[in-house]
Amino acid sequence: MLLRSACMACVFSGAGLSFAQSGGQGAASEDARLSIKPSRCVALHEGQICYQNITITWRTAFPGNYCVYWEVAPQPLQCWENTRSGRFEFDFQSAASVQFSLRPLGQSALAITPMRVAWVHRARQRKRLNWRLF
Amino acid sequence: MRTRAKGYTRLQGGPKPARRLLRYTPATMNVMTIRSRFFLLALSLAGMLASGWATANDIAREVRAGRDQAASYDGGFLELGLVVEVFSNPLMGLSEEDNGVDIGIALNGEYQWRGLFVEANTESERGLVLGYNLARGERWLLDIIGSNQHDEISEDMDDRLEGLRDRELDFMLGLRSTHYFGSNIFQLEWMRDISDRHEGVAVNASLGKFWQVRNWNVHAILTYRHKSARVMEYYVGVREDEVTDRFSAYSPGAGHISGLEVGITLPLSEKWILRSTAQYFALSDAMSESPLATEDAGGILLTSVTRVFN
Repeated sequence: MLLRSACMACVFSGAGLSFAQSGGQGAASEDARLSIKPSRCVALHEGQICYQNITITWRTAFPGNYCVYWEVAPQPLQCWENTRSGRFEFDFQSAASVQFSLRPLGQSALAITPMRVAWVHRARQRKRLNWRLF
Repeated sequence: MRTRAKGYTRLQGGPKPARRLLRYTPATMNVMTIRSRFFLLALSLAGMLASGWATANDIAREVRAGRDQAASYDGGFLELGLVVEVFSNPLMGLSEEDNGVDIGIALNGEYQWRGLFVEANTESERGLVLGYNLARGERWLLDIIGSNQHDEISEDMDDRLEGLRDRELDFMLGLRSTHYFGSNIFQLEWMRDISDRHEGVAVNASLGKFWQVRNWNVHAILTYRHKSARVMEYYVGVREDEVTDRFSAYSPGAGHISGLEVGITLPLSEKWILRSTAQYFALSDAMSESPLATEDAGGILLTSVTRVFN
């Protein structure tokens, strides 16, 4: 399910690696911020894929090459070059909560933010099959 | 329920009861009112609270849930809210007016405990179902169920019925088999009256399908509901001793109701649900030719907002 979501994400996000050009290049900052709005998606039943158009924004202290990832896919959703902030729309589709992260290319995450998938009705836990009468 | 309401008004010597909050659906020839359903639910919920939660596999809810296998669990949920209904009743006595708009209480829920279950759904074709899961497999269920299938038709609700005997609500007991085929669910019921109203038999067949369109949950259900001659005779027949200027004698054979339900359900939040359902049903000739029939088909459009308690 998540892999399917990841593939959908690639398709719907324009497949990832688009670099925005801007002047300057600098180191990543500890002050990086990553935010998602809305940060929650509600499905009717647990286990269903939840759909939500979200806006992802980020900002760092210094310009650099940054990418936004979500944990279900190794490839970035979107990348920027020589800039200290970014924003993009994303068609979120997942059956489970996931985390988005902001990373300089080839480095660890500077900022992480969750996208929570909630539901109204929980999934039924199946019991062992049995025969009550026969 | 309706019987109590009627008795109450008679004892009080007051006017006839306030207009029935709905309604007629194909399932029950039907017609549990929201009020009567609410009353039944109140009773059942009290019992549920005393004993613990039970199973629910009403096809409308199963299809709405997009279930593809015979899940079973101990527990349940309750939905409470408001429903607005636009209805057209093809039989006299089911509501004060043949066509109208009502606002009522939406009360849906299910509870299961060790195979015992109670299902309640004011927005489905049946109000309250009590039952026990006899057996189940990966993709099928076999339950014994009891429920009210046909509601009261009486002069209390419709002045046009003056001079006719009251047709009381019944209670039927039978078997229900549910089968899951991908996103399709097939359900077959055989039920016999145990309330001594008519001792008739009802056989209901339903085929439901579910689709998810983004966060919208869409469903459709085709229904075919067979009524034995005894059921028909009791509810839509007119005996010789009932004949008036308006009603001539009528002795029907077995009949049926065919129906289609289409609905959407949208989660507004983790606790609130928006739901809209349209139902159309057509009466067989044996039913529509009854002197009590005003049309050969009817329908209902329901829209509700409910709070979910898990």
